[in-house]
Order: sequence, then structure tokens, then C-alpha cells
Amino acid sequence: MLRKRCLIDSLVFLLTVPICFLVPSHAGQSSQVTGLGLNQHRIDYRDLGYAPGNLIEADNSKITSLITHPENGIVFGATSGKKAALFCFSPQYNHVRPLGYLPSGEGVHNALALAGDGMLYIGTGKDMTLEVELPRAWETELGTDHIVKTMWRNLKAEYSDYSAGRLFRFDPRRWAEMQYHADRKAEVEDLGSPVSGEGIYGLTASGDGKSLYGITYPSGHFFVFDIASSSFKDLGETWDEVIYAGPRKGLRTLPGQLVSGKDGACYFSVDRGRLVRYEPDKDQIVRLDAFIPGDFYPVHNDFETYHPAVECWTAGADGAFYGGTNEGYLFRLSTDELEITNLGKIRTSRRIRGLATGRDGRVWGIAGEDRIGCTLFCYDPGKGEFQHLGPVQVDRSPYYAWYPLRFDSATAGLDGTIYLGESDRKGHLYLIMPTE
Amino acid sequence: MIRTVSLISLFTTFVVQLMAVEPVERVAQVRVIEFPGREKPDGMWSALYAASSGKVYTGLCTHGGSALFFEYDPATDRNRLVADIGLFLGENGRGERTHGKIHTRFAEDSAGNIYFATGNQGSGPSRIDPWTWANKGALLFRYVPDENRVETVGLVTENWGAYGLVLDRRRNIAYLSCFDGHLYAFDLESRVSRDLGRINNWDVNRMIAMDGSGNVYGTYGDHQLWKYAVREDRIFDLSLQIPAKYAFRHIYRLGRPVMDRRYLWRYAEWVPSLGKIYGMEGGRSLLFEFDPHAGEEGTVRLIADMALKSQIESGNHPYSPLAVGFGPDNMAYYALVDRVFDYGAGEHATQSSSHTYLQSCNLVTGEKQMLGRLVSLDGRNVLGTGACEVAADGKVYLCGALEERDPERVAGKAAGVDPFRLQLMVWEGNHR
Repeated sequence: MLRKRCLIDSLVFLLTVPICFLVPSHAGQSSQVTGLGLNQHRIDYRDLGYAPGNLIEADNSKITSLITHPENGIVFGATSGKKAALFCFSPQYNHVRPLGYLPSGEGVHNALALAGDGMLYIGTGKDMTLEVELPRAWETELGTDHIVKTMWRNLKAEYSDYSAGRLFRFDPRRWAEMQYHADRKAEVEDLGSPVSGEGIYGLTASGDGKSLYGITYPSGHFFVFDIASSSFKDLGETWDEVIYAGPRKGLRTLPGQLVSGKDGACYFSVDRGRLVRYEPDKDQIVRLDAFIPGDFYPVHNDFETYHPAVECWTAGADGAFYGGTNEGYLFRLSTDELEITNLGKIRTSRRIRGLATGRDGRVWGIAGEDRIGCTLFCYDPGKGEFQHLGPVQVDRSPYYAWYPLRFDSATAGLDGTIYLGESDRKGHLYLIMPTE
Repeated sequence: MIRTVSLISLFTTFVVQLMAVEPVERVAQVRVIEFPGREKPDGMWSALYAASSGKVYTGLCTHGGSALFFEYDPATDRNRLVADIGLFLGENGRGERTHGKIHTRFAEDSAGNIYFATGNQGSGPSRIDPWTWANKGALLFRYVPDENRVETVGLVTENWGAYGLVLDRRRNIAYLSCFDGHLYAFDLESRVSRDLGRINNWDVNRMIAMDGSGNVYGTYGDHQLWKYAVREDRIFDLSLQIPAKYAFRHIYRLGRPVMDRRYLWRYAEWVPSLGKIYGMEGGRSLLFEFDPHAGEEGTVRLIADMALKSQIESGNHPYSPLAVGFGPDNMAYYALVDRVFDYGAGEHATQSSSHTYLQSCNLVTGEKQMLGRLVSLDGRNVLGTGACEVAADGKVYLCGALEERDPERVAGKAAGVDPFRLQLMVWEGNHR
């Protein structure tokens, strides 16, 4: 019996080996298995340091801000977690270098800015990636909005003993002098807090380089930091209503990022998807007759107002701004005509979480919700075409392999590399090397 | 001529790899306890549990169908279908993707209630609208035996099914590792699920283990251990590694990386009598001991290499089965398949004509014993198993694929070749 079995096995083997060599092992897999439109060697990741030495530890490695230095191409990143950390990636040296923990703050949410003075500014707040713990015992007050009121009270209570998010300054020219210790404080200058009891939720440099603009959480104050005088100005709350538009439950809907044009004006979204503009010469926020795209849900019942918000921006190569919304729409904003063009929605899942403009003008983005997983897409303004590239999976096994699910930041390198910041526990810096 | 061809082939190392039958032909006979009904579940992993009541619970998976929850009562010697999950949830007949799998080992609370969680995990059907699964996920169930009542406790996470499940009886919290590589804490009182963070890649945290203090453990990366420290409410990646002898998986395919469950533990369980965690490494069938309370991070010890002789000689190791059980006498039982077995999975690495060998090992002395090739009392071959449990009376329960000769009862074909049906089996010692 055994001998017969060996004989059969041997014959099967002898017959199948030549066939194996004739059939390409990877045939059709790149598209069928993952839907990726990029060859795998164009996707890779870097750990945030080296595990036995200076790795930013797993709980503090959720990358929530990225920015590229326009002159030397170094990518700076900041994380959220138990403690917020600063790091940089030098494409020339191909290493992530931890620059230390920020002296305070659990998160840096879309709050890295390179200003006209050549300095890197970092705004801190709480870790905004965490799921919000919602109150289970609803109070007994009447009214349609009693749940919202309870949630808001709960949120305010969470911040009742919170001092404030801080603004820090780091000289990016000093990155090479740093000791690259993940467990030491970063050598940054503390510039103070914009609004007491509020975290910094978004930060950008003005187009003219003179100021920083920011938004706070949970109350949505808009603030201006004047670099020359090193002083803050709080312009107050920007949203009329407390909205929980989702898809993240319990997170108050506020603009996740702001953008500024060369004239120094700053754009962001408020209630009802309306776009507003801060005009620095008049020092005022103007409500524009421009609305970002949103979805319609059956539950809206024809009488409810909906409240899409911008989660991320990128400055396009064509002079326009491209924005991504919490509902997953990509749109184009022409600031000259104040015209918003709805470019569409790449997935059924909501959220555009990061955008970056590549060297060839294509807009790269990350779409998807936490519990569904993110995918990569790019939009070609020249062709008006979306390309959905699927999950950003790296498999260099047996050396390393990782299937990321959550990203919350993106930036483009000077050489055309797209960098994505994974915002899960055990976050990695992802590199996409597109073909042009 | 035939002899010549055969001899030439045997001289090649490749043929050595293809030799599957373990030379030890001792037989371990198992008694089959039929699952009633006409359903044809086609896979089972981990979902077997010998409860303190003496009853044995089984969860069977049906790809593209419904998970089935059974109770075996030794007093009546009968298996009983407690719940067809699809029917229970009202999913059947709606053209939706369904809770086709129970992939967790069962957990028991101090009142004797039984917990498990469901999922879809590749169960498909791939030709049904995927969005029909979008708001489903790891659903936690409780079975109250005294009232013969099954209830849903809550959704642990959307979209992703559950794998590992342990219960902190003192704090009334269920911990689950899910298909998204995250660890979740589900508070059984408030019924609120909390995401504790990412612990590892892909779906490979099949089993998690809890020590006597309520800390939860699993593996990540290259055989490394993580710990959820309940006091700190935080996951720590330890520098400790479980024993490893590298056996690469010779498949390079996206979504199925080489660094998969072979680099982790496959099975792990807290053994109260010894106050330590015992488990099976995933790539080489290495039985290990992990003492979480010794030293700074704990200590790890190799107890025994449980791989079959033919596997060690050929270097061809299937990933370790989940069929590991620990007896009251501090004995480990391990049902190891000789070839790559995964029920009816079409993955090209699976091999037909597999056999399963039951071994035991003393957890203290490391002395191991080959108990024999598993066959039913009527001589049918056990192709592979997905779980092993040792009851308080020392009986060893196994669940998996038994050769099925009746075409009407065939539930699947292992490696696309060998007809099987899922069966609950019990090994009561080598008396014959």
C-alpha cells in the first residue's frame, strides 16, 4: 500500500513540476487579489525607529500629521497616543529618525506647519484617534436634541480639567543634530496656548508665511498666531451648532484641516457644509456662498439639514485647492471664482482622510473609515479620472509584512514619493512610489 | 520497471517531502458522536469546549451559510443543535452575507453561561453583495444552559469577525482578538465594546490567553509576545519570544504572507493547576510553556517538539493545527495532521490524503507519547481536526473532518479530493 502510494506521489510530482514552471506564479494576482494598481515594489513602509533602540513605542506611534520641507525634502511627522512624538524621515538617508516626545500633549492632529521663517510649528491636543466613550445613561430632559446635549456635556466634561493644547516650534535645520532618542523630550520651544481648555485640532501656515491659522477642539475656535510678535488671537467659535455628523461616533464635527492661499486668506468649513474665509487684512471671517458636497440620507426626510465637513486639503498643481470630506467626497475649490466642483466619491465607505499632490499634478488620497479600512486612490485633474488603488499592503516576508487599515495624514515628497501616516497602534510611515 | 521508477523517485529529496504516512502505524480509535440534522457545515476551528457541567459545546462553520452551535450531553450521549445562527439572526433567505463562522473557543462565566462570537472571515459567498456584511461583524453571544436560551450580547466590532476569546470572570469583561488585528474589551454589564488597539498583522491572532490575574496575552511579529496589562489598561509589546524553529511557508501571495500564523503561537491556554500558559507554536508544532509571572516579562520554555518524524526529516511542516487540549493530569494532547490540511480550502498548498496523529505530552516532564493515527471505530480516516478538548473525566474530544463514504452526507472534499463530514469524536484511551 505504502509503495503504491509513493509511486503515485512520485508520478504526480514528476508530471506537475514542469507545469509549475510554465505557469507564472504571480499571474493575475496583483489585480485579482488586492485590486492594487501599483506593483508591490512601489509600496513600502518604515518603522518609526529601531525596536531595540529608539522605536517610538506602539501606543505612541499613530501618525496624525505629516509635512514635507519644501527645500530639503525631509518629511516631518508627528504622532498621537499616550504621548505625542516628533520624527523625521530623510529620503536621502532612508531612515525614520525619532526626534523625541513633545513636552506635553497626547496628539498632533493635522497640526504641523512650516512657516515663512523656515521653522516647523507643532500644535498639540488630545489623541483624536481614540474612540469616544459615549455616556450610556441618558438623562431625562425632553427634546429631540437631548442626546446631543448629553453628548456635548460629556465632551465638555472630558475637557474640564484639560489645560490646553500647546504650540511648539522646532528648527527643522537642526534635525541632523538630534540624538534620535524616542524616549527623550524633543528640543522644541513652547510658544503657549491659543485657547484655554481647548486642544489644537488643525494648524496651517498662512500663504504669505507671516502667520499660523488654527482651529481648536472641542469648541471650534479659530485662532491666528502672529509669528513676528509671537502672539495668539482668538476669533471665537466658528460653528453655530454642535453637530455629530459622523462617521466617527461621538466626535464633534469640526473642520479637520485648514488651508491658506498665497494672499494669506484661510479657508475652512462650518455648519451646513458652508465654506468660510478668514481675511487677514480685515481680520474677520467671511461666510461664503459656497458649499462643499454632501450626501443625502433617507433619514434626512427632506427637511433635515446636513453638515458635511472638510477633513483634509491639498494645494493642487493647477492653483486650486482639493478637499476631502467626512462623507468621502473629493472636491475642487477655485479661490479665484470661489467655485466648488464636486469631483465625486471614491468609495461607499465615507471619509477622505489625507490628500497630497504628486509631482505630476495627480491628487493622491486615503479613503475609508476606521472599522472598514482605508484604501489609496488618485485623481488625475488632467483626465478628470479617479483610480482606486486598493489597500496599501506591504509584504516583504519573511522580513516584514503589514496590512495597514488606518491612515490620517499624507504628504508628497520632492521626488514624487507619496508618504502616508498610519494612525493605528504600531503606526508606520508608508511610501508610495508612483509611476508618472 | 515499476520498481525501478519508484526507486529512482525515492532518491530525490522532493519525494521524501511527498511521503506523508507516518511510519508509526499505531492506531488511536475515536468514537463518533454524530451531529444531527441535514446541514452540511464544512469547517471548524477552535470552537470546542468541555464545560464545567460536563457538557461539550461545538461551533461549526458553513462557508456561505450559517454557523451552527451544538451541545453534547454525555448523560444522553447525544449532540443537540442549540442554535442555527443564521436562523437565529434572521439572516437566512435574505440574500446576504451571513455569520457563517464561530471561530472562537468558547468561554464560560462563573454562572456556567457559555460565550462565543461569530464572524464571516472569508465565508462569503463572494458572489453576494459585500455591503450586506457592512454593519455586521463580531457578534458576541451568550448561551444560558439553565434556560436553554441563546442571546446576543452585543457587537464587538463592525465588519471584522472574532477569533480569540477569553473571559475575565472577576471583572466581567470579554476580550476578543478580531480579523482586523485589534484587541477588544467587551464589558458584559454595560455591553460596550472598547478597541484596545492593534496587536498584530492580518488575522493571525487566532488564540489569546488570560492569566489568573486578568492580563491577556498573544503573539506578534516574529514569535514575540504582547501583554495587555489590566491594571495599566495598556498593551505592551514584550521582548520575549516563544520557541521557534523556522519553517517557511513556501507561498508568496498577497494577503497570505509568509509571515503569517507560522511566526506566532497557534494555540495557548492558561492551565490553572500549573499557573502558567501553555501553547503550541504555529510553524513547527513546538509545545511551550510561558510563565508570565517569572522575571521581568515572564519566562518561556520549550517543552517538546511535537512535529512528526516524517515532517522533521522532510522539513515539510503544515502549520500547526488548533487541536490542542490540556487534561486535568497536566497532560497535553495534540492532534497533528501529517500534511497541509484546511478542509475544503482551495489553496494550492493543501494536500489530499492527510492523516491525523494524536500525541500526548506531560507538561511538567516533557515526556511525549505517540497515541496513534486517528481512525473511527468503523475504520474511517480522520483527515484533520480543528479543536481538541479534554474533559474533567479525561476523555479527549476532537472535532474535525472524518472521511465520509456516503455521498449524501459529504459536506466537503479536503484539498478538493477527500470527501469528509464534520464530526465530534471522542478518544477514550487505547483499549483495543
